[in-house]
Order: sequence, then C-alpha cells, then structure tokens
Amino acid sequence: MSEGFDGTENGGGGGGGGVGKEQDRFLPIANIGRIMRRAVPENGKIAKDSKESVQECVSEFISFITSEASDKCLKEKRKTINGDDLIWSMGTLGFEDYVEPLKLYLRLYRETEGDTKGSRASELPVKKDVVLNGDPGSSFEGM
Amino acid sequence: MGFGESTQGNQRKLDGPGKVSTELSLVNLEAKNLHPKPECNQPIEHIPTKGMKCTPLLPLPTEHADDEPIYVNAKQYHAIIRRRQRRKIVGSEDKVAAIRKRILVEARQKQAKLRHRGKGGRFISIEHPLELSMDDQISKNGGSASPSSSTVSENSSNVNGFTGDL
Repeated sequence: MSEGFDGTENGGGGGGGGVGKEQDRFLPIANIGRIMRRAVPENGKIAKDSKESVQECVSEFISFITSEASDKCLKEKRKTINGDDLIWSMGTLGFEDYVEPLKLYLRLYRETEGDTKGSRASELPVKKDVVLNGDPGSSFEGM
Repeated sequence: MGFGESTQGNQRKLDGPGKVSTELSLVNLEAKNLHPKPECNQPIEHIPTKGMKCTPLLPLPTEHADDEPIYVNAKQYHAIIRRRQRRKIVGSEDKVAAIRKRILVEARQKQAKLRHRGKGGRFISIEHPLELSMDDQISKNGGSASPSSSTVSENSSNVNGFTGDL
C-alpha cells in the first residue's frame, strides 16, 4: 500500500518531468526505425544503436534548422515559424540544394492541404523535414 | 548528368559541415538513399579540395585540446556554437530535475522510516489503532503474565502513534 502510494507520486512528479523533457527533445524511435527501413532491403535489419544514433542526429538537425529560423523570427518580431522560414534557414546554413525541392514540396502541400497558417503550419514543416531526411531520394526523383 | 552533379555537391557539403557523429549519420543516410547498396564510405574529415562548389571552412573548437580541430562550413559556424550553448542549458536543466527527483525519493523514504508500524508491517494511523488495541486485548486474554506492564506499553504505543500521525 505505502509502496504503491510513493511510487505513484514519484512517477507523477519527478519522473514525469524527466521523461517529458526527454520526449520533448527526441523524436519517437519507432517512427525513425520505420523511416530507416524504407532504405533497407526487406530482409535487412537495423540495429537498435543505429536507430538511436540516427534519432540523436535527426533531432539535432531539426533543432539546428529551427534555431536559425527562430532567430530570424525574433529579429522580425514574429511569433510563428512557418515553412518559408525553415526553407530560408536551410539556405542560410549551407543546404542550398534542399531549398528548391522544399519550395516545390511546400507549394504542392499548401495547394493540396489548404493554406492555413497558425500552430498547425508551424508543426507540419518540421514533420516535412523529417520526411525529407528519411527519403531525400524521392524528392530528387520528383525534380 | 545534372542529377549526378547535384548529388556530388550535396555529398561535399554534407561532408564538410557538422560534427563527427552528424557527419557519419548524414553521410550514411546519403549513401543509403543514393545507392541501394552502401558500398562507398566517405572519410570523416574529408575536406573538398576541388569540385563545383567550394565552401569556406572554419576550425570549430573541440572539448579536448589534444584533438585536432574539426572544420565546418563557415555558414554553420555560429549556429553550431549557439546550439552547443543551448544544449548545455538543457543538459543542466535535466541534471537539476534528476537531483530534485532523488532528493524527493530520499525524503519520502526517511519519512516512512519514522512512522510506527503495527502487526504485519502496516503503518499505524487513525483507522489502525482500533485493530491494534483489539489485538492487544486478545493477547491480554491469552497471556495472564504482568497485566500492569502491558497496559503501560499500550499507552506509550498509542501516544507514539498519534505523534507519528501528526
């Protein structure tokens, strides 16, 4: 009885904080495994530490691009990061070859999904970055 | 032909910037996506000497003085420094959270040790003294040795129990 009580409070308080922050910092590893599997033959397997390495690198890449876009928004006194900001950020950081495919992708995305700016728009560009990271071959093939 | 050139440009850029682990993972991703069979492996610190686009490189300070400096794309230098500082802040916050959690656990354990326990290891609380007194009465009836001393011990245990509750 007492153990359960203490465990519940511990889990709710400190554990929640720690786990929450870690979950905020990294993408879910299952999704990353799914994306990596696309580039591997069907009979191939991916080691867990490989997924963890890619998880760290992809999450850092997202923070890298978003941090530059966030600085731009701060200078221009805007609160919402949109897809154009992220594409500009990639151009500024030396990923110029990604800019044209991403502009095309964003244009097509806005045409199909509707141009709704706001919190939804700020979330989805990051997701698109993940997709492109997972499968840039498709974007090049699209050109 | 055009695709090949753009691909090479991408590879060169991805080789230059970033940290070692980032370079490894990005190069691996690039290799996997461009070639179904990953046969070619780029060296970690490959610096592009000739090619379509030559980007200027800056030496990035490393944590260990003995290590050779890692050269990164000049466009990314300030962003990398900024990200390093932010990671330090996030890391310190996580440490603070972990310390707070441990202190909380230790405090609760200490508090639990101070509480008095009845039969079966259950904590004595407002509800449980009744059961305790009933058990004592049963033990009284069972054993007839020194009733006055048992009464005194019962009183002291009750007093301690209430103190513990408070």
